[in-house]
Amino acid sequence: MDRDQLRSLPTWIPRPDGWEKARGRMRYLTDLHHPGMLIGGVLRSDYPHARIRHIDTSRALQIPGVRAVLTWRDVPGLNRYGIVIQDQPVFCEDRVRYVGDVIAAVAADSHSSLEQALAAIQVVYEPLPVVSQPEEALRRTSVKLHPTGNLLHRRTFSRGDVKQGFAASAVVVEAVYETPRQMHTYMETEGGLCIPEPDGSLTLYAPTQHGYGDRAQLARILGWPEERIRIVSSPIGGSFGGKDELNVQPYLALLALSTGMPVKIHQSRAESVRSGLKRHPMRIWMRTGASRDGRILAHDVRIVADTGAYATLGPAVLDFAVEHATGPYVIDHVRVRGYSVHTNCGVAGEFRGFGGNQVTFALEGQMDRLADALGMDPLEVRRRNFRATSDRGPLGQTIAPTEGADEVLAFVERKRAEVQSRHAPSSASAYHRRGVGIAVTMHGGGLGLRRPDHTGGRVRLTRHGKIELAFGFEECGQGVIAAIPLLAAEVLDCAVEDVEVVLGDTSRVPRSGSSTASRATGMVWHTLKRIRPDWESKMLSIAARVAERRESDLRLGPGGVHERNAGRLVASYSDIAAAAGDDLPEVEIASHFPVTPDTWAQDGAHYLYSFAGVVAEVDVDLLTAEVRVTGLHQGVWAGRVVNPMGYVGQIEGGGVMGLGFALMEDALMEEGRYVTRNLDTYLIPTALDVPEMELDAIIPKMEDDHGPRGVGEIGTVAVAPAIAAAIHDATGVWITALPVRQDVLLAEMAKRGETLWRWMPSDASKEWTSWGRERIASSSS
Amino acid sequence: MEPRVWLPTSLAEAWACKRTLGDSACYVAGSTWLQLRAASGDTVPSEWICVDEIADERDVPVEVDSTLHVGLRVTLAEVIRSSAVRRHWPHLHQVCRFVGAPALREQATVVGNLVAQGDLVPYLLVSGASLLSWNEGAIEEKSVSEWLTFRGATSDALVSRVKIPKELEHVRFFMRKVGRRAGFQPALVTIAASLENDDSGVIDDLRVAVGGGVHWPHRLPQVEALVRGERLRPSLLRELHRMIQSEMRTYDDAFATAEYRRVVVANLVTAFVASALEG
Repeated sequence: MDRDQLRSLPTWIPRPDGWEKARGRMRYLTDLHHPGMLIGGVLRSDYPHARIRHIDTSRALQIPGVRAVLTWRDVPGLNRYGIVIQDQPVFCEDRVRYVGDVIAAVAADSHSSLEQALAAIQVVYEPLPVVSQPEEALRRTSVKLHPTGNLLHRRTFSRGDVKQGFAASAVVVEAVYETPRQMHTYMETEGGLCIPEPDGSLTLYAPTQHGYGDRAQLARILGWPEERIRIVSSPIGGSFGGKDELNVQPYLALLALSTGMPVKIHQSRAESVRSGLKRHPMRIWMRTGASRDGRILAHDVRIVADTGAYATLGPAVLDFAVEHATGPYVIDHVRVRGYSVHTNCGVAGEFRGFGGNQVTFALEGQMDRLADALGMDPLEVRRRNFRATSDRGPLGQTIAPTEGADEVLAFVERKRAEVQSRHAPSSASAYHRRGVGIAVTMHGGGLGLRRPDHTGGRVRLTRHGKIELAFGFEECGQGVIAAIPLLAAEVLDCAVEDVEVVLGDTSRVPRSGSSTASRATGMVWHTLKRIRPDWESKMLSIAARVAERRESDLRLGPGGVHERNAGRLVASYSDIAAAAGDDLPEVEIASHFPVTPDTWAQDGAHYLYSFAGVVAEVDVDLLTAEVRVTGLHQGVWAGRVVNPMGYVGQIEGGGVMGLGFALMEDALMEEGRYVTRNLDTYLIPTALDVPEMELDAIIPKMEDDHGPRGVGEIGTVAVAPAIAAAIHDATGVWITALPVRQDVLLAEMAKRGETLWRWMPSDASKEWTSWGRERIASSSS
Repeated sequence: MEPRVWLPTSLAEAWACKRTLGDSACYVAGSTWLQLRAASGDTVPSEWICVDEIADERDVPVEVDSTLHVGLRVTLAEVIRSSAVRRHWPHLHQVCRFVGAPALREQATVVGNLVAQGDLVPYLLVSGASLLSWNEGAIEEKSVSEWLTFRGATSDALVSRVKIPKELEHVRFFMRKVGRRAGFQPALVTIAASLENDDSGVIDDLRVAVGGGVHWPHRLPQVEALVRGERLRPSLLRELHRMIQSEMRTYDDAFATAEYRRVVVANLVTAFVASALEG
């Protein structure tokens, strides 16, 4: 289904929060004010790596208007956080490991007092050597950032014997690929408001991808039972993985608790850059061998991920990259070795695509190099190695059968032919060259085997006759808030208007896991399917009393319960609510994301996958090596479309994020300090960079039992390799490092003899040369 | 720290204010550049002498005797909107759109861009623009090029107006900002060039200026002299390409090498000269 077909679906409805967001009127949590609230802020490290010799807060405390200055001594519970491994200090005691590390927090009556106090805190540092390169960090002689050393996590996978595979290969291609430290660049920087309640509890309004997750982490830090903390976490001004981990919530809570007053913190963009998570930069070596007919025989991979100072989800990101190192290709001899390594370069963590984007750039680059070495069409090489519908997954595990790979390849073939036929040799300028590139990918959804991938939800009838659906995951801008009523209408047979959605408040929602790993939409569907029988039975039983009919003659429908055969409405949801009195129907379930039945498989192995095929068109300015993406077309196989507008938004938005990753985004660091400290130098695509984008939402011919797959990530994953391939098509230069640097590209083109003198219009150049000669001749005669 | 804002009502008062406050103060028009620097963590002056209330200064560009007078309050957006500019200064119109983004251009001024050595300066250098500045109780007029050379010595001088001669129809212009995305970005390099030749193909005048980013904007006099009075021939184009690279003063930074900036300017200017003379 293309965009026009998606638009014509009856489910193409404006998202409930769309209008307010588009007009800039949405009140985010960081827009909240509370009478008498204090302004909070934190003091971050002056050094990427140092020992702390002394902290003196006495001068800061004397500044008028300052209500609290906290350090590690003021943490009642665990002075550490981290979703899986609690290794990140809330406040550093004796050592800082990155420039975002926090030493103290201040609450004051005004911004001015806050700034003075932060400046007055005296910290004596003893700078330590900065570990800025992961390869250097792995050396035995390197300074150790943690007691366990600098290797956070190692993950390997092997099958067959790569030596044997290479020995049998007719061609072998080898390259090292490097990917950037991409920033999530959510619109709303980190912050929130914390209010101490009269009953001794805390209410924290702060955006996150997992309210219950934050609650558990804060409870650990405060040494409190979780129930004493209420987290209100939606709406969120973007996250993309970046707000999955805690950021300023501990300081909000500790300051509010210490002062007994509401405290607000809202980070500036500069502070967000300095402290926030980034995408793992990875250095990926790949060696791939194939037979003369294009069958891949061996694939050897080494991944080194720069995870920065602390763990957060670094291990899981590496696991994901290792799993996806073979993508949708069936290869007999495989060896993948992955290392996630601590450095003093910020903190890398969860980010849309979760390690898949990096490894797909490398893998698809290998496919293009193989095709080149074999003199084959890049599409054909892919086809010859593609998985079949019932093949096992990349780690040998059973996965839900899927024809996604073939479907997206068919899209790529069709779209590439269409694009190439449009590409008549450009007459616009002699100094521009166009290129077309392709890439495909396969991307796991959910957290994977043996991960705590819980889900669940609650449906209840409100007193006013609305069907209230409550889930514990968040609306981070992805549009699940629009998908939920559509799924409810489909599964519970009600109307979209009958539904009220409750998200983002631990006092009002059940546990559903986090908004992550492309799982929310699928989880709503699964949950509602499981809720349906009980819900129907409860509703029909009350409706039967109201309408004086037999339950078996009734069914759920829009607006209320209807006669099963005649279809007439016999009891509206309001009637049912009135009849139910205090005993309003309610069904709550807890569940788990589907996982592979192969319990022997590696941790994190996935069961459900989505697929994307990308065709990218570029225009390269030969004089400057500026690359403009002129077309970015994606065929996506992710089960059926629930919320068409949300689907289009995710794929197009993801595509633009992928374009940024390919061409401009990189949080550059030198010796552990950010060079790109704000959005004037850290560039993301603007509307002017957005190309023409076409989308084909490929709907499975037969729907399986697993429902829609979620499209939060898939639109970002294969964009960069397609752009890199298009640049190669235009210039002959193989791209190995992202983002593509113009200076590197221009120099590489020059090495290939591609200079101004070659590009001067061939006709014009001759004419001009003869014109020049004639002029010279005429002037000398 | 919040800056202290001063609102003088005359050039003389503004200048006196600056003289008194010294290096802790700076003149401020749209404040876009200062805010950008502050947001990036740079230290900016704490005393802002705002020019908004200065009387006798117009908010729109004015054409006087084939010269465009752009006062210190005129925003880039006003220049872009001006029908006179669109008609007689089409390349100024083009370069104003190099700067920032639409909302920012409603605030940012031409004079501010000049003082901050922004993307307009290469154009102002090749167009032969001059400026008026208030210093020591008097108005001085200098060429932009001369002002750039001596500005360090007259740091209290307040630039009150830029005067830009009309773009002549027989002069070909070339303007280009090279960056890392399509717009709203710092330049890797910004280039302006103009070319005049006679009917027989002899180059009367080539002007080339380089700026943008943290370049000190400058013309390339040796390059200009190389081709003056010459006819175009392949060896001359090669020499032009080479000399641009050797004469231009540029820098390495985290985003591009100096070598890249040199080659790009050489490529663009050489291609411009070749194409201008071809057709």
